[in-house]
Amino acid sequence: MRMKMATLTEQAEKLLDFSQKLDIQLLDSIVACMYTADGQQQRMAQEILTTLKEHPDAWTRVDTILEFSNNQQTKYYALQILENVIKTRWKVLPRAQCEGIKKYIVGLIIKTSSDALLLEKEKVYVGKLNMILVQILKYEWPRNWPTFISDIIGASKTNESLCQNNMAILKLLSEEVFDFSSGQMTQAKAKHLKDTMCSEFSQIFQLCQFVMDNSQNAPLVGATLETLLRFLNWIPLGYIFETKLITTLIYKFLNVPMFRNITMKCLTEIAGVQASQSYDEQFLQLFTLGMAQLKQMLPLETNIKEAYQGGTDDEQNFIQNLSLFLCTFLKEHAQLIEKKPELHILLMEALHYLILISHVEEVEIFKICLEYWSSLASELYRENPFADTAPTLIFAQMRSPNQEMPARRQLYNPVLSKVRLVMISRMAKPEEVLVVENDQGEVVREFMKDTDSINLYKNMRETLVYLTHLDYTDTENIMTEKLHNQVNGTEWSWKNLNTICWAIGSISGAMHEDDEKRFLVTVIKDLLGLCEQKRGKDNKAIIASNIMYVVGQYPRFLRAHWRFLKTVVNKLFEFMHETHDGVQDMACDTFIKIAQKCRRHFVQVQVGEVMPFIEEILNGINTIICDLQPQQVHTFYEAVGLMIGAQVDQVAQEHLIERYMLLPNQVWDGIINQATHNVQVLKDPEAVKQLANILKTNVRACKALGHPYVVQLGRIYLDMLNVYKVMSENISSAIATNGESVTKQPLIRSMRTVKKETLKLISGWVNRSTDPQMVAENFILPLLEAVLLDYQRNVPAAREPEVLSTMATIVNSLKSHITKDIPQIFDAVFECTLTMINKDFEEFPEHRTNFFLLLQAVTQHSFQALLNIPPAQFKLVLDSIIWAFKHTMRNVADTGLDILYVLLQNISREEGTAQSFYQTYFTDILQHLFSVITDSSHTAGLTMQATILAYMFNLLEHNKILVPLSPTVPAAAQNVVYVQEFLLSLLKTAFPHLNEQQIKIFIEGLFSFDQECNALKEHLRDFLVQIREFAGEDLDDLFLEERENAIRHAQDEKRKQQLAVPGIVGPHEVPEEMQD
Amino acid sequence: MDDLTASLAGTLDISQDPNKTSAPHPRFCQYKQKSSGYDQDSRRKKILESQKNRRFDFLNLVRNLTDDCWDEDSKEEKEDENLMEIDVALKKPGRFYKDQLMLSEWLVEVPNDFASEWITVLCPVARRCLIVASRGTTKAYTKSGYCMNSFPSHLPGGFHKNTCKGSTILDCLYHEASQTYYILDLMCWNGHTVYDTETEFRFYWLHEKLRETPALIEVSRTNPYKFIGLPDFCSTSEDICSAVTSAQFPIDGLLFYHKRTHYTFGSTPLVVWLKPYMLQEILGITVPDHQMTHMPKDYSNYADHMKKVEEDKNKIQQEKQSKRTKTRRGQKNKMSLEMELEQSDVTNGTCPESLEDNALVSETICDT
Repeated sequence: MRMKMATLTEQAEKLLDFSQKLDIQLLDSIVACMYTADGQQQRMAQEILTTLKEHPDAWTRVDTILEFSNNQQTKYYALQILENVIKTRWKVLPRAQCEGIKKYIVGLIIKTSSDALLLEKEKVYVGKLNMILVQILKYEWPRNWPTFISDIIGASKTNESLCQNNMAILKLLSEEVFDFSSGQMTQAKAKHLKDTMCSEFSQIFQLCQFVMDNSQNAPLVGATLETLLRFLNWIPLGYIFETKLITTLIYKFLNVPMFRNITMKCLTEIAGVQASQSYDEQFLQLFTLGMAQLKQMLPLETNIKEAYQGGTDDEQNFIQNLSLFLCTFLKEHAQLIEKKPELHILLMEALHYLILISHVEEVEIFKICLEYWSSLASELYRENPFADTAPTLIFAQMRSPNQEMPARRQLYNPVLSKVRLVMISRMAKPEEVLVVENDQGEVVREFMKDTDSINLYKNMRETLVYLTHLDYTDTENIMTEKLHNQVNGTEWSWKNLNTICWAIGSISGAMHEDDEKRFLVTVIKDLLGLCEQKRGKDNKAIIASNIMYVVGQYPRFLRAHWRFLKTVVNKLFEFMHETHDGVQDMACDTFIKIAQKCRRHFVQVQVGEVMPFIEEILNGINTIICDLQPQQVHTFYEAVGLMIGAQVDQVAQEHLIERYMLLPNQVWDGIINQATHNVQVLKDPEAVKQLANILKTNVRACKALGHPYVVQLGRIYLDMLNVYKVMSENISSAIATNGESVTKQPLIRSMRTVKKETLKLISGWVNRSTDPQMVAENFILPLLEAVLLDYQRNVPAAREPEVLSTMATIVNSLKSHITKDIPQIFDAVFECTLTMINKDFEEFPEHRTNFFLLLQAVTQHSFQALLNIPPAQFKLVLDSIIWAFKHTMRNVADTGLDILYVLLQNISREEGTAQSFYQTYFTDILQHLFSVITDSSHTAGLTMQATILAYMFNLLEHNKILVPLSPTVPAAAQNVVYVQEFLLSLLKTAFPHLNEQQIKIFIEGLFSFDQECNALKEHLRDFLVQIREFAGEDLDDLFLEERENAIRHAQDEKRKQQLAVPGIVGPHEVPEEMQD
Repeated sequence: MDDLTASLAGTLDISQDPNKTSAPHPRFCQYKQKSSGYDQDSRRKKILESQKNRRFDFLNLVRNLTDDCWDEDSKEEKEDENLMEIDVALKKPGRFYKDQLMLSEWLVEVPNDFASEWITVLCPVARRCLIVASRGTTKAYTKSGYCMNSFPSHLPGGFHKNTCKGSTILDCLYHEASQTYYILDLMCWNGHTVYDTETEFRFYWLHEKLRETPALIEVSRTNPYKFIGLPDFCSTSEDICSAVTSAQFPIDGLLFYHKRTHYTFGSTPLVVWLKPYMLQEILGITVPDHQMTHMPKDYSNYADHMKKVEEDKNKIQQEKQSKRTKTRRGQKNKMSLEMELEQSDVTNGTCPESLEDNALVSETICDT
């Protein structure tokens, strides 16, 4: 083994020596070694191959390798070398060599693809060769190779298999130019290539048509259709609609099993074209002919769900393509067909296909259909939103059902009912809970926000709500019937029951209140009957959970029926004692859900009651929670807190809070009393765990109560801070005796939990407090005393990052009221945190984030405090801001830029300080900004970078800078010139491959665009392309931000629309002011 | 609506323990629960009967609990599908530490032998838990089997320097504020199991053993929590009255143990439970005012209530006779009867109060 390795190294030397002839067999064996051997040997082989690949002359060996090697893998390796050289260094190669490579590749492709058998056998290899040719084309065509299109068309006519491969090349070229060009080349270049391709397209089209009309060669026809598919989204419309392309596709290829998938895709592409009215006839033709052909291939009575389940891959793909075709066509052109009554039957048949496909149990296919149903339902609703919202009870007799229904809705009505059934019987899971272990080693449940299933639920819910608005009696009937099938057993299963209940819960708010009530009463009755009928705890638990889910989804109903609400809550309390798996969790989750939406009803005295229900809860609170686990108790407390928060009378509320916190306070006092006698108690694991638990209860209470929590906070505040100090001392001494690894121990971890929860409680309350002056006067001093010194003195590993975030929260909430304390805070936390994070960009990520958040808070709200610190420390602050925006952690970098911008704005208002600031730091900041702007890992922050740059150049141009920036020319008037020169030399050294003219234009542009941030951003982006084109880096991310913004913008728009439709936004997402 | 509320309160259950204490007391509750059709007394008799024939490997259970070692094949058996059997078959304990405690039912019907055959225990406001002391540590588990605490104690097996090598299992109430475990019952002491012995013996044994181990009531480094045995009393009115009056702590409720019951798992009619404010109503015992707090404000007089029910019952009895010929047994029967009741509501034009009686009546009908 060792021998072999030694020889390997020796051989590597030989391979890398370019004066010798290449030993193909040696290379083959090393490549084989790389793929088959393992461990050390494989690593060696890989290293050799990488070194060889990176050698600047490696590409000169490619032809030899391709010619003589017998190993496929070695050939790929050679092609990789070639592709590399083309991508990165094509422009620096001498022209003759470029031509040489080009000719060689073309020759090789022709040679390999001329023989049908060889082409089939070497498919992958040829594919790679094609790709390389296209890479070359991107540089050479059309300028250096104007005849490429006619060359390739001409060559295609000589040989069918050559033609087949040429189709593949054209396809690749189309993809590269039209689909993947963004960011890969400058916009101007991409446009040039597209124009060229369009103008020469007629030749290509003729070739395609010729093949489709005449060829009997299946692979060739397949390749042609594939290529055509790529062309369809950009070719001039005349080629599609003024030729016989559509009929050829439908008549000749759609019913041929081998071509039906690709043909379907082509037709989908055509269906998606948005053309002017002039092509209406052709679209109608596409639909009628296509449907006629389809009906023969796939009879309307087919059970597509079963066919799909038993189908081959090809057949399954066909179903998917069919759904895409129908959805695309109907979405774009259904209006055309609606106008022709004679086509309505055909339209119904198309929709029938879609209904059948919607039943297929493949979620991706379902999503395709869902998108169409959703757009159809919302369109029909928006056309005539208020026609059907009056309650049935009142208007039932007054109007016949179809009398005022819009014509379009009448047409679709029968289909909509089937769509309702689909939505109801397939409703997705509305929420997902993940059980995870947190940093403190506790098992906690987390509600997931964005999963595929939740998004599917949202879309289905939206669709079903629109459908319900269109005809709620039908929705109700279907749901009632589905539920009956659960009761009578024909469809009984846990999954089905869940599904129907999720569906019922999803349309909360969509019906008129009276209808909703009637509907819910029958639903709940059925479910109760079901629960009584089924045996076994598992069954009963599922049914009970579903009842509670449905009930929780309808807060409006609960609020209107107090006795029912009270019974539900009492039932939940009963379930909190149930030991069957998951029941207690369900009870607590439903309880808090109800508390959020009906809170006021628990603090009012209800009709027929002698006191508010909250009193009853507080009376029995120990009995209610006695079987719950700590986490569940916390949820329970938050829920009760929400109720108490709804009490508006301050005195009554304070009284409630006192009783509410009685239980945790008793335990708290017990431990504190013991600790005053013997502080060792606070080292007892059990006591520490209990303290953490009580603090968590308090955190939840504070979260629910907001500012009024102050009554309770005042009660435990000083004790809590003392406990904090003791915990800290315990941790420090444990670390001092046992080293930092002790922080992993359970006891130390729970002590840290106590500290973290204390900070969380305080910052949570300060954040919600409404009286900054009172907070600043009464609560801040003891806090700083307990927390700051401890933070400073501790070893880094024992410093809680929450200290920083708490300070940030305090500054954000108290604003100017805290200014006098800022020096104290900075003294304690600034330098010691900075030394933790200035070594690299990764360590202590939480401290890092929180540190800069604190800095941001101070800059924003207590700027005066920053001005008052000594210059040395101010320099440190500025350095750390610069450090912040150099991070690759995006949130930190964003914070850094933000701080800088606010700082610049704030300082410009301080006449005297501003000028000395500019003198000292202006060029410095510019330099650092440019270092991030030109760094590819910071493109995400481009907008903010551009904003700051614009601001700074504005200062310069409008002569806001009255001091000379240049160290040599003492005249402020020369500042603009100075900065221009400064930048020129800066960029020249950084990017020697750019010529001076380029840079000068860029710098001038910076000044001319400084009025408008967007234009400046475009300008910067162009410059970035110029920098990178040479370097050959991936530019895909340059448009990242635009895409993100576009998406966000679209979402905002959508939400605005949604809020106008009752029920579209779920009961638990409605913004605060509309609640309860 | 009221109908719906009543059936939600009455029928929605997961584990079907009759008269379970987590739900309101059947007499004091707003809506009458649907009972299983067995009265408490006959269930008691059946259980005592089957207790005689029962064999259960308690030693193995103790081994499981104390060594935390559970065989895979000892999986919880499926709940008995046959309803009739449920009340008679003695429950097996759940796996691991869940459902290991003997739980009470509400005392609904006062047994005839109450004064002579029952023992009263006053319970402070505290949290029920299972204490297992073995191999040097003492662990406390909640009813649902969650380990809420682990500490040393002077219970046999409860801390590592203890001379006793056996294990101890107790049924306790944990009072968090005073850090005290009040002992309700004893299942195993120093390796000696008493599950299958009668209440009288278990209580006697418990108090004997506690007297032998005075260190248990002292707080020390090796016994951070106090263990205090709860005193027991005869169930005569006088004894209960004096016990309640002289109690030093706020009473959560009273447990009544049948003298002959073994220690079983889950709820049993042989241990019953009352809240202090129910004593007057059920047992005719006057309770001092300070123990009457937490009485629900909508508490109604049971006798009045029964009278009203009786009247309605007669009325409905007649209607029932006429309908009986048409209706079938089972679910359909019940549903149609409910409909009938709704109708009768309308025709009688009754106030909401009588609706709740209707629920009660409907149940009576179903039972017959």
